[in-house]
Amino acid sequence: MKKTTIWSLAIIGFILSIFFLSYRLTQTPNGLTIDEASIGYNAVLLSKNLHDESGRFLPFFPLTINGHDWKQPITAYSTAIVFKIFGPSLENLRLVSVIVGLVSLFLVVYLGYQLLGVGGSFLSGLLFITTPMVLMHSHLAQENIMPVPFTMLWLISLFLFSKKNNSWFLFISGISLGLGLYSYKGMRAIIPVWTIITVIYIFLTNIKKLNKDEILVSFKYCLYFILGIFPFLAIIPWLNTHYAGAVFESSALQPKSFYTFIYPYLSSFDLSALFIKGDSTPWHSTGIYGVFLLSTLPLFLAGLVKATQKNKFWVFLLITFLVTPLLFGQVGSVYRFSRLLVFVPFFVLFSSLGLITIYQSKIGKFILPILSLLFIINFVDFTRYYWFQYPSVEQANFLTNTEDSYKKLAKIAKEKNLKPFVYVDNFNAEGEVGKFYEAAFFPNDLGRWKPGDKLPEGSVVMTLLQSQPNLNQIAEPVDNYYFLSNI
Amino acid sequence: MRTNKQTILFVLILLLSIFLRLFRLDEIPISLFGDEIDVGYQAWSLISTGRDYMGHTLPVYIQSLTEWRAPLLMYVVAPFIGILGPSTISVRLPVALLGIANILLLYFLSKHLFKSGKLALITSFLLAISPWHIHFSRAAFEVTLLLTLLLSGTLIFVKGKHFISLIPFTLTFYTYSTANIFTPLLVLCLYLINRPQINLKSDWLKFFPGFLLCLPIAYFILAGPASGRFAGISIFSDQKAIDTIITTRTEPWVIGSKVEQFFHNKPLLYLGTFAKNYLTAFSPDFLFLNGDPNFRHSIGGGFGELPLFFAPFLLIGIFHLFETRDKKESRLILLWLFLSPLASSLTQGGGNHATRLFVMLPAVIIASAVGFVYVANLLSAKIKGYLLGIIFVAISLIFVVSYFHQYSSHYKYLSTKNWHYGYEQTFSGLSMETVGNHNLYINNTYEPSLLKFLFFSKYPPQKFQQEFTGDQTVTSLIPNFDGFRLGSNLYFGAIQTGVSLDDFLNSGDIYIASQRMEIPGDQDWSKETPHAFSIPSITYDVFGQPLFTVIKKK
Repeated sequence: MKKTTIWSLAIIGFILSIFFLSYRLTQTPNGLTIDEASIGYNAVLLSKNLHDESGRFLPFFPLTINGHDWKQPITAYSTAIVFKIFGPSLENLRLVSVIVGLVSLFLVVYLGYQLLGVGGSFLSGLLFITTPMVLMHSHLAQENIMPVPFTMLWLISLFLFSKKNNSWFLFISGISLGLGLYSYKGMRAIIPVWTIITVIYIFLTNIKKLNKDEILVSFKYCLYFILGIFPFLAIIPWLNTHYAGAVFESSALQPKSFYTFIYPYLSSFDLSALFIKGDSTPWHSTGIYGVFLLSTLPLFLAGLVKATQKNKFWVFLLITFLVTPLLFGQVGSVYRFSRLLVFVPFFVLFSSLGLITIYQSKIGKFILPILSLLFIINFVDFTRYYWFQYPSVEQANFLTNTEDSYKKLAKIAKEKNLKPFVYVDNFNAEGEVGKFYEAAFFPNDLGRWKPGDKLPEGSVVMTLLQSQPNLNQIAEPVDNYYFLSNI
Repeated sequence: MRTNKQTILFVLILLLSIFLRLFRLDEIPISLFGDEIDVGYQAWSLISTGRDYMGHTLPVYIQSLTEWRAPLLMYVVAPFIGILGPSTISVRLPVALLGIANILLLYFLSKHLFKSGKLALITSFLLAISPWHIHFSRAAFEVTLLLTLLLSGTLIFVKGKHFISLIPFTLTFYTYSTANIFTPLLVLCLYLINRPQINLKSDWLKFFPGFLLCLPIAYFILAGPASGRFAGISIFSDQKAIDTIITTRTEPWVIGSKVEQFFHNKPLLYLGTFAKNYLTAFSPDFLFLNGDPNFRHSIGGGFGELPLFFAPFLLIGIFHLFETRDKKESRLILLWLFLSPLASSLTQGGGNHATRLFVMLPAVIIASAVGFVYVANLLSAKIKGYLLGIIFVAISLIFVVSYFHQYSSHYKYLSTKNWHYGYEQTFSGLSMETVGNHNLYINNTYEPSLLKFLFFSKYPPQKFQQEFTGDQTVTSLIPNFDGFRLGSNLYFGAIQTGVSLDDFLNSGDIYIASQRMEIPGDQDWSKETPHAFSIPSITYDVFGQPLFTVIKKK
């Protein structure tokens, strides 16, 4: 295939992916999670005045939800940047996850190309973008998807090191892991395992004979990697004293029992959950589709078997995949695949390898059309359900999205030069969602009002109450909110 | 020397197997549950009358009170009941012996397939300590016998006696319903892998015994009641699934859309359910961590169907078998492993049903043993073989001790309700002679009591066959009592709400009352006996609370 054709296809694929990941971005899911709202709220504050909701100036970890939850710096600041450029809104809040998904896609395609050639890179991209967990998390402005690009960078750098023997790649891989550590809370249970396995990999792949010189060279290479990740680890004691509980929460290194240690680990490899049931929570799973599409299971299994027969890097990928959730017993993470989005790159690479293996086998040309048909049915079925049914089925599990009503209040206040108010009980009931939209759409003060309070002349109040003495409706209601004014 | 060492080790493994399967067999699990009692009473009926308790002469498929059952286990148990009499031990002993036989058979099968005494030893050891096999060898489950037949058939087949192997294979159809799907697949695999030279013209007569054995069961499976059981539990008869399709298609946002039929239809739904069941059968949760959620099928306490330390060996073993898939034995074990959950996956809740998935066990064990040998060979350059063996045996023994502790000290008592504890203690002292001409009323609402009474009170099957007219509850069978009658003065059921026992019973009548039904709360009538009654006996649960009270009207 000509280079121009390949590039054209790649660009078309990338553009389609942008549409695919951002389609019905604010309607699916129909509502927000408390994490989304709190990230949005703090990102707005950071983008405006560089403080989080608890008043900390440029905090490493913003403290959110009334002091209950530390958010990760990478999510908070990347969202703040997006808000600064495009303005705050739910769409732009979730756009951050879409961007992360697209960056990950690019990196997956690149590694796929390095490992499996042009065909493999397209397959990797296709499998990545059609993975249910990726689509679902590109529609959630949460931290879960954040570690994926760092995971990819780490793997790419390691691969490029093994190919080009340039030590800088090890340094970059160390930095990637270090950044990954602060991209998502769950990574604190994964990065230590990956660090150890990376050091072992670097050491073993660079040692051919057990003599002093080779050992020293291997150590030198390990040192490059360690130098990359070291600053991110060295800062932990300081973080522990300044952001108490932000790094490890209350997780102790000692599990309660062997069972509580091993159960979360093994549950991470339950094929029925990975390919059919998905995550155990309604925010991260439809409950009827797995983390991965069921039709990709044969590809994945074939890839796993084939990986054992390929080069050291594939074996490294396989072992890393198997040890990734080793410390999940520390956080009691049973069937919580939303914490394991870093599985996706491994799944994609193994499945692509599996598909190529099947295609090259004797029965490949016979099986492939069947698998393709099953894949298409499976994929279309999932996307239809996710886009059009899941929002209504799971609506009760999400906080109501009242963006339109806040926007309208801001618009009325601006156009008619009125002072905006919100009924305090309604606002408090909305919790983080209300705070987010208040910060997003009301650069000046949004007043609080309750029945019986006297409004200043020239005010508009947003309330779920249909009518109030001496106040008139001045616009059509939105999301059950009425706009009452004393003009 | 090596042979002697292997023989000694094998004898030790057998001794361990015998201990784990026979030690306090009548006490752990704590008592016979309904299906075991059914087996026992059918067996007693067969050995003493030549008929099942419903009166069918030497039945090919056996009619029990609630369902039709595959008969072979009853026939196997019958001689034991004939010799030892109806008791817990006589029902469980044959199954325990079959369990021990399974270990022998698996040893010989793996030795023959892999031509390795070491692998055969490890295989038999892993089966010997596997919780799944231990538990199912200690109660009268049909699947233990099924495994014996499958292993025998396979061993005979791979030894070249293809036609003789058809006999045990055919007998599996008379043992447990999963065989109806798995056995033909296994035989087909054996045939395709080994390609035996069969000349239909000269060998047709050799098919005859197997064919002949097939005929009666084929009738029962295709046209008779044997298919009824499967129809009841299959995923295809799950009304809830049909309801889901209808609900999904008629949701307000899609109603009327033709596309809905394409995505929400029976084939796709069945495929999804089947796939879920199939994958769940291989889930770590089922295999290694929690086992079957039915507390009668696994013991809880963090013990799955297999020891957790099997997990890495199983994974490595499967990988290694894939690598060597050009070898006949690897192909056979892989096919066995991946075909064995098919039948169970076609049933509702079949993904983690230890009984229906029991046929997986040989393949899982052999794959684990292959994995262990592979790892041992890898490490043998660095660690001495005997050291590896010691570490492995030590881990295994720690596991066995902790498993048996959980089994005998916790599970035994925690699972009393699942094993229908209390009936043996209540009924074994009762007989119709003690009742005389008076009436005996037995509460039938806690659990169906009829078979439990028949077995434990040693009610002669012949008499039962003559007297039994039905066990459907009749409202006001006699004034103030709903239930059914056996003979002239034996009643099963319960007195009607609001009727007092004092008013209902006549002098000399006996009523076996269930706590919280006829006797409120935790009242103990042996301590505070109402003046109108005497209390000949009372059965307590393991927590010391009254369970059944035998009440006699003065």
